[in-house]
Amino acid sequence: MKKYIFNLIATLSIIAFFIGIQPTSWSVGYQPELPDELR
Amino acid sequence: MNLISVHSIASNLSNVITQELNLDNVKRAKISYGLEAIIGAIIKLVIFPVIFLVFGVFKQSLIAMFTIAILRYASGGMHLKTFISCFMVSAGLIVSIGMLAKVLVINHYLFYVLNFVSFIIVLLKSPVDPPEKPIKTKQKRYIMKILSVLILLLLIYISSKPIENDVKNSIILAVYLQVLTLTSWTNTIYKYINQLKLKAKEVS
Repeated sequence: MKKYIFNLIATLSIIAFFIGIQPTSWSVGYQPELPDELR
Repeated sequence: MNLISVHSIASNLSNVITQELNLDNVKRAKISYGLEAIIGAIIKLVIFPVIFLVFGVFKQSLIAMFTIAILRYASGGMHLKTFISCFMVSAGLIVSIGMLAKVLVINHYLFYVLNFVSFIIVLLKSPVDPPEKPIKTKQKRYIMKILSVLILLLLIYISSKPIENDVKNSIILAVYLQVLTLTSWTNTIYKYINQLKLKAKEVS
């Protein structure tokens, strides 16, 4: 059950990453800083 | 002001998930970034409407918030460095738009002049990308510019229809605010806000 929930959170986060990775913002004024691993 | 940082919550949670699911470092970074975006969006979506209700500008501010979000997705604009400063500045500005939208009567000529100026600014300036995350290809920049102009024209068209005055004001004031974030003078204001000690506390 714990693994299933973690998998769900991981999948949702990766979807949000692909949407939010746009250089322009997807929200009102703040965009998370891009981690060094993804630069 | 010390608050628990959204970044550190997302980072810690992504570490736990990565260890549990045996994922690599790149996946961890993607999960951390995505989680930060999700947590930030949930906080805003829950708390903003409450703030709007408290100030009695629920409808006007909600319309303004979504107008900014839609236009900003394509046009970009200045960013603040921390979630908490963004949260406070955004809430303040959107509530102000809601309050102004209730009382303001915009003259027809002024409405058309401001719309024309907005159109020119969007045409020349958009998309405004953050230096740490630039748009890499010319083609993408071109697509984002076309999309920004189309969204702007759609919003101007909606606001020029015979709708309630407060709804019209909310849309158009939100458009003007978003267009202002494309110009360089907001750099100065944003730099000043970023210098304020609105840093969140890192938790480990």
